[in-house]
Amino acid sequence: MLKENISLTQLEALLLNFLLGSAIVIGIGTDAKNDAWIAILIATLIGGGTILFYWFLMNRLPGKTLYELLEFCFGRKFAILLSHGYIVYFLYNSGRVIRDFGELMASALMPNTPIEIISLTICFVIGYILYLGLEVLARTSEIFTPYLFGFIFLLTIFLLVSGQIEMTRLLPVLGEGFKPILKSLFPGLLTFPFGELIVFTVIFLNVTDTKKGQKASLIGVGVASFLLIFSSILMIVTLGVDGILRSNFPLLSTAREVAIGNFIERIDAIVVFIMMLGILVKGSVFLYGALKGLEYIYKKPFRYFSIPFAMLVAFYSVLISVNFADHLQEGLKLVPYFLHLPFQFGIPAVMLVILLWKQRKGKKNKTGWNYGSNQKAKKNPGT
Amino acid sequence: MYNRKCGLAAAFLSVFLLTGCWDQRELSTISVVTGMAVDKGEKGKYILTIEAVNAQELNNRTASGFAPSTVYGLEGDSLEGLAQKMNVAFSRNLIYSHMKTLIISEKVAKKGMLDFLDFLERDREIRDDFNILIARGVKASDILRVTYQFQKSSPLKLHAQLDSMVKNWGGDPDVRLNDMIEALTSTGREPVMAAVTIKGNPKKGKSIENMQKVTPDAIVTLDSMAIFKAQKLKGFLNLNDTRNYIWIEDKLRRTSLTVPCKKNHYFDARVYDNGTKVEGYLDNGKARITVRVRTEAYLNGTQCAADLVKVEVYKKYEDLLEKTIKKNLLNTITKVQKQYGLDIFGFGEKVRQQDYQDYKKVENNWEYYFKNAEINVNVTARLRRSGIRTKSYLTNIKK
Repeated sequence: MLKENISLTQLEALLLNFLLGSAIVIGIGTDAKNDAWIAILIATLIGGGTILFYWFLMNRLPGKTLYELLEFCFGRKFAILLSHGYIVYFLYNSGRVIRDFGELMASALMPNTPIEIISLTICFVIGYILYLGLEVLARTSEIFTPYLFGFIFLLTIFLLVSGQIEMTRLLPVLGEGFKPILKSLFPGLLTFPFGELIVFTVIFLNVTDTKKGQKASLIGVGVASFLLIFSSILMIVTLGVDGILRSNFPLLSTAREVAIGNFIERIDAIVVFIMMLGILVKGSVFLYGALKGLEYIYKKPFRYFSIPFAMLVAFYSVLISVNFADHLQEGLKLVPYFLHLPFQFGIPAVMLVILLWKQRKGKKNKTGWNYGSNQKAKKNPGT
Repeated sequence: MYNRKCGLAAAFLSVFLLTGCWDQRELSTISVVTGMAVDKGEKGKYILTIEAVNAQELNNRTASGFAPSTVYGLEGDSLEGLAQKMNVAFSRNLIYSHMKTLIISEKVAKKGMLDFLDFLERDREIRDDFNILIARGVKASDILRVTYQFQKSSPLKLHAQLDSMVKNWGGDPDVRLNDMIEALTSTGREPVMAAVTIKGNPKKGKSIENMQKVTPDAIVTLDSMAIFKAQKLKGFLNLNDTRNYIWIEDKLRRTSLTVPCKKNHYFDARVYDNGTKVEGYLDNGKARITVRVRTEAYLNGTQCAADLVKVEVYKKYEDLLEKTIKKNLLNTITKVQKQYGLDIFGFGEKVRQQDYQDYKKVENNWEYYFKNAEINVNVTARLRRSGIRTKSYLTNIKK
């Protein structure tokens, strides 16, 4: 089990692509209608808090992954049980992300190609990347991220030039007040995409400098949120709220609007690139989280599991739901409550309490101060 | 050696991975559809007629004098089914992604049978870049059949024609599928479409001979603008009103306005820049709409003897221009208010954006408020220059 190191830029790139991932494919905060961007803005603050919370958790025991933390808190036997839960959760999420991509390809680009083939191909790539290790994944996302910025920039310019943008579509701001925003914040934006950062608790230890790591991850979340807000505004001013609500893939529909002088048009490929990169990184990171869990449980290098489990993800990404509506409904109605909330916030919160309690005890034991105070308490039980 | 093997393997793999899988189509097996026409069917709900072009005939170098396109129609209940069934007549796979024009017959629109727009919006191939037109007084399929000397195929001609029209004079609301659907789903706006018709004999129009004449036997002309109540066609506005409509909508690119300067004497202002802002709010149960127009123009011809070196003359002409624009816009708005009561200008949308709380209360009843809305038009017009002459020669004609 070699220790892999990733640089701070790589961590930022991973976070950025991870957060964009499927969020940019299916659009987020749509409950808030044309105030979606405000909702995302608020969610960003919560997202920053979330990642600091995970860092805080990991800093209690530096150099340990989520799974080792579980062991520390609950003992190995119970930790293995919980780890299995986390592994399945990460695999499931990976499958969902791949399914998002499969649906995108199948409904917008290649309707005659079986979704199985699409899932298998991308999962094979993911499996291979993870076989080579986290460093390769980090480098991949680091290399492609500049293109991401370039393409978003290009898309904006094209939309501006082709005259499809109407800023008045953002009005009225806060017409219905804060209610729709709160509705889209909880549990929607809180758990997806920001809460999903829980999987990074497996990756944080690969950053050598934890202080700078925290700062870098805040920057990563910030930049990603900026892009999400930006794309949200872009979608609203191009398509209008109704257009977004009617689109399965709003950003793709937005790109389809581009037409400059019968010459620059049909630039869907740009958007598909953005989405594919996000999906690739997000799917990989989730799979990596699961593989690290397997490594922890079975004490075998995670590389051994990568290809087989990638294939498993491909398999389940197809079986996960019968149709697209089922897929979305599951993702909006069931997953946040039954999977996201417990795994993203429930268990970590319990862990935090136990950790703080155990460490307090540990510290006091070392200094001996605790022992004395305990005796004091025993001495006068009646008062 | 190792590298070579890897390279070979990569080449071999890409043969299988980069072909587009099940969706690959060879260029030699496809035909491009340029236009669709929807008529009302007798047995089925619709008759869908499509035009597939023969690319060889469109290219002047390879053209050999055959018909530039094939037009064929089928009857059935839904457009999607018919579009895929077209191979009863066509030999190649039809590609709909380059469709330029959709023509809807007046009858279909009057019955409000525009439900097929869902298919057009949903289909991944069809894009939002085609013109949507109403065939006024003629069959929609006939419009597809009329040939024309330059673009040869009628949908291609119409697409280019309307584009030029927008650039030179206005008169085409330039409606795309998204605009249409946005208007249909919004409470504060009713949809419009450009309407075309055939001048001449439609029967003779479908021949190649039609392209060989200086005065074609039949030619497709832009006729007016159709206005809708939801999906139902309610009436037509003439071209001048259409221009005023896009003036209010802030879609005007360039136009020429003929303004009276004396009795039966006119001057022409070539408008080259225009910005329109609409402000609206509800006040004591009455909608108040202010249309602010800021126009830049140059004088491009006068029938009055005018000394166009003087600032005062410019000033006078600017005033006349402003008055005319104001009168025109108000006329069109009042006409629509009185005659149809349909908010095609999207004033409701503006009120919604600017006065949301009040608008929410009257949302379902906006039509009534639109009819009784108080309209105010403010025009600022600037005449910047006067072509390449100063004084008109009319000022010193020796009698």
